[in-house]
Amino acid sequence: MTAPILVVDDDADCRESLQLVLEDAGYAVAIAGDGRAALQALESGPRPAAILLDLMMPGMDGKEFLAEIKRRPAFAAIPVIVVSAWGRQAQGVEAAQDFLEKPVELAPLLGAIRRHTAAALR
Amino acid sequence: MERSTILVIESNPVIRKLVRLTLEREGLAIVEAPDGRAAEDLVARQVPALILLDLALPDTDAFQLVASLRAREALSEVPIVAFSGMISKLDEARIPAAGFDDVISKPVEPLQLVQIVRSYLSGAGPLRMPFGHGRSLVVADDDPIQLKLECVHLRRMGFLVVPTADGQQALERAREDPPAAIVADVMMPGLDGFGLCIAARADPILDGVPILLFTSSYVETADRELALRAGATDFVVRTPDLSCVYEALQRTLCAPAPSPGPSLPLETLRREHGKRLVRQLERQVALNSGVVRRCSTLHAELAVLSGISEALVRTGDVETALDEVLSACLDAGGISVGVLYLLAPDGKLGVRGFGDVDGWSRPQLETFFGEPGLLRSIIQGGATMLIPAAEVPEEQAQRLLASAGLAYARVVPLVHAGERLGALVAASRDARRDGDEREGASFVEAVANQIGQALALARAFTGRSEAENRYQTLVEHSAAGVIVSGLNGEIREVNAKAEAILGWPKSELLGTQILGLIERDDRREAERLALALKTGRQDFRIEVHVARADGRVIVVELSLAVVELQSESVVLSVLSDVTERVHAEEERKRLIRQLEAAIQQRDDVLMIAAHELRTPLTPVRLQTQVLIRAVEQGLAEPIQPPQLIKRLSMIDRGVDRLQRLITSLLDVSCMTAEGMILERNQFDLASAVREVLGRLSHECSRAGCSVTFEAPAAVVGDWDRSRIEQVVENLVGNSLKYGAGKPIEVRVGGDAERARISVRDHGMGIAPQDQDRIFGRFERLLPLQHYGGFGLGLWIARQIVFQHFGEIKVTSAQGEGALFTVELPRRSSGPEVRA
Repeated sequence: MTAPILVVDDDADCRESLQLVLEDAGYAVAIAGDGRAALQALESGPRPAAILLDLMMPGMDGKEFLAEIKRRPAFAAIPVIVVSAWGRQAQGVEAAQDFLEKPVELAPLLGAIRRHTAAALR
Repeated sequence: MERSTILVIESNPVIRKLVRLTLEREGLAIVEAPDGRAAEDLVARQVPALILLDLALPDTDAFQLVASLRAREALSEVPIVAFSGMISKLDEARIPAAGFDDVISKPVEPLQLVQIVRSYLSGAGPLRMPFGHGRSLVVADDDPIQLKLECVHLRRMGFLVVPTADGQQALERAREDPPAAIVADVMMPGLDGFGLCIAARADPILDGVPILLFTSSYVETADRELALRAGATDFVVRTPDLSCVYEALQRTLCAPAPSPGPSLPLETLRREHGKRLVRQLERQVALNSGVVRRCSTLHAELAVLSGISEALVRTGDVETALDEVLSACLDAGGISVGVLYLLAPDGKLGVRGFGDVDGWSRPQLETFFGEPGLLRSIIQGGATMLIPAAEVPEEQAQRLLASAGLAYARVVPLVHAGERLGALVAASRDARRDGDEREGASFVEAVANQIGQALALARAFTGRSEAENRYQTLVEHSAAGVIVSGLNGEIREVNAKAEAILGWPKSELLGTQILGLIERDDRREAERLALALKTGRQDFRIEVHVARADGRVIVVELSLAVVELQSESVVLSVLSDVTERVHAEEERKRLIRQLEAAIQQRDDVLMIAAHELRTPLTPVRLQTQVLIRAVEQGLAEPIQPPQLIKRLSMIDRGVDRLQRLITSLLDVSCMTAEGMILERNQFDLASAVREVLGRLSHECSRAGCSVTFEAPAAVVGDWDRSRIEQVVENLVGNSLKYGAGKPIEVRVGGDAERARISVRDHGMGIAPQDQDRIFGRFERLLPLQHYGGFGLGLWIARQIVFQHFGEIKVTSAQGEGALFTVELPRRSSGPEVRA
């Protein structure tokens, strides 16, 4: 069983859609509706190969979550790919490994995941 | 008050000014009182050396005033000179008895005024050396004013004076207590001076008493001879300053010669005396007719000046005054035509015609009947010219007279102190009578002289007040409001425009504080400014609020400057009502702020819109690309129908969400731009809400919220169904968003009048301070967090409810969920109802 990709998005349609395409591509997928749920998933579940992270979420938002995991040595090395509708205007996400703009396209999404999971394995 | 201060009690300010200017030039100090009351106040404080008193006072009868002044011990010896225009015979008789020392007639000839005043002030003249040494004199004069004057002077020389009104009285008093000398006028009623001498020389008691006769009437040598023969020690012709009398007295008393006894038999003396009396009578009669004529001339001259000075006071306009007075004067002088030419400072000739001038055209008058050069040369020459005259070429004179239709024209230049002021032309259409010529000439010349004086006087006054007038004119006609105040802020002058701006009448403004006009909030600013002005800052401009008389508060722009006005520093404030401008400016600023906010909001909306539209696009694009790739790969890994349906419905939902977002954006722009138009129909609210909940069931289950619906019965009303459904969608959507997955309760109810929809969730709730804000446009409580949507839902809901004349409200406490309630009138009651 390969390490899953953790999809963090409050929008159910986005979340489901990402999950479907990643599963089509052969990845295991874990999902979370906000930052806090994602943190719980990290603490309790298997260590993900990468995290797809939305920014605008209720409760703990993407930036807070990002800062939190980068503070924790156990999670700091997990590649984070920000997937946000805010486009290039998003600030405070320099700690993320990559940035994709919604509506995200299939090929760049899978390419980014492949790149970062490969890097993580090396 | 100095010892030599002169009190001028005079109602006419022009005369007062004239007197003051004249006497101040002589180095005399003047105090002025315009009426009796002011005079009483002044003398109560200090005693003047001389009082000049107008006989026509506004508040008091001058004769009573004199009595009152004389009643004061301090004033009993102060000379009081009556100061009078027209004196009636009655008043003239009352003057000496009333306690006046002298009379000066108006208009005042400055030289005469100075002389009279000088003669009353002490120490005037080298003759007045005191040599009386307490010796007594009996003085006889039937003219009470003269008598008074003689007494004053003789007392001042150290004599004890016994005044008497005629020869008989003098004789009696002298017998009672023989004096050092008797001083007597010759012409007296009853016993005259000659008779007095004869009687005294026949009286053993008075035989040795020197008698000094003085006269202004008996001026012939025979008179003097008779006097000496009758026993007079000396006989002198009276001079105006009485110096002849003092000199004679000095001669008589210092080197007393034995009185010559009567050198003629008494009978002869009496006959001679009778002859002199008849001779004197004839002279007086002859003189009288001349005096009468001179009087009328003087009267006319007087009328010119006094008329002009009065008109000056009244109108400040010399020319109007001349018009009024001259026509009356010329009429009195028997002159049928008068034309007055006045030289303006720029050399132009102004013309005014009087009397029978209707036959002439204006240009005829203006060009002096075609001979303007002649007129100018006569004016320059400065001498009266009677045309025809030897100095004027006969042809020119005839041309002039023929053109004017005149028999003769007398041109009298108006000259004052060497200055050419113009000319007075007196003319007649009838051939003149030679006998009248001299009288006519002197009359016209006298009037011309008076006009010259009046003009010079008027120019002196107007020249003096020219600057004042210019300033007054400027102020009065200024399009801006003008307030003149002292450095202490007291308002002294206000022009009509300022009255109009402030809404207060001038009478209410004068004497009040300029700061008092300014509204309290602005006063600190104004005070700062007043202080700065006092300490020398020159000009300022402020805008302050001012309460008008009608209570309206206006904004006034005040420009203040310290200026010198009549050698005094005053604050000149120019004000204009800038209320409109300020309001417009405020409105403009408000609009700009609104515009900036709107632009900011638009930018926010664009950003939020971009974000919100991108989110539902994500599944659409991803799934579309998955399907495209599957088809491209030639169905190597064919997607099974359930998977296909799942992906396609994901796309469909995304499109649906996009559509709803776009609709709400359009709604906002519609509602904002042109208001909402309702399409009302009768329907049952309960079933409409039930339908909406059915449509939202998928979303509800995805949000993890169970929704319960309660409606006791059908609630029918007249509303726009699709708009009401939109309200319900937005409210329920809002609850799903913030309801944290907890149950949501929807109820429909109401009474006969109103329908009610309530939506309750059990989510995070809304803090009280936010409960209004949530209905605003693009207002989301948590702007940085993501709840989806534009934050427009509640705003749109409220617009719709308001349009139905309903109410929408929220009750909530943080952490306890929220209850949204909508109430709608069941019958429409607004004007926007559409069938």
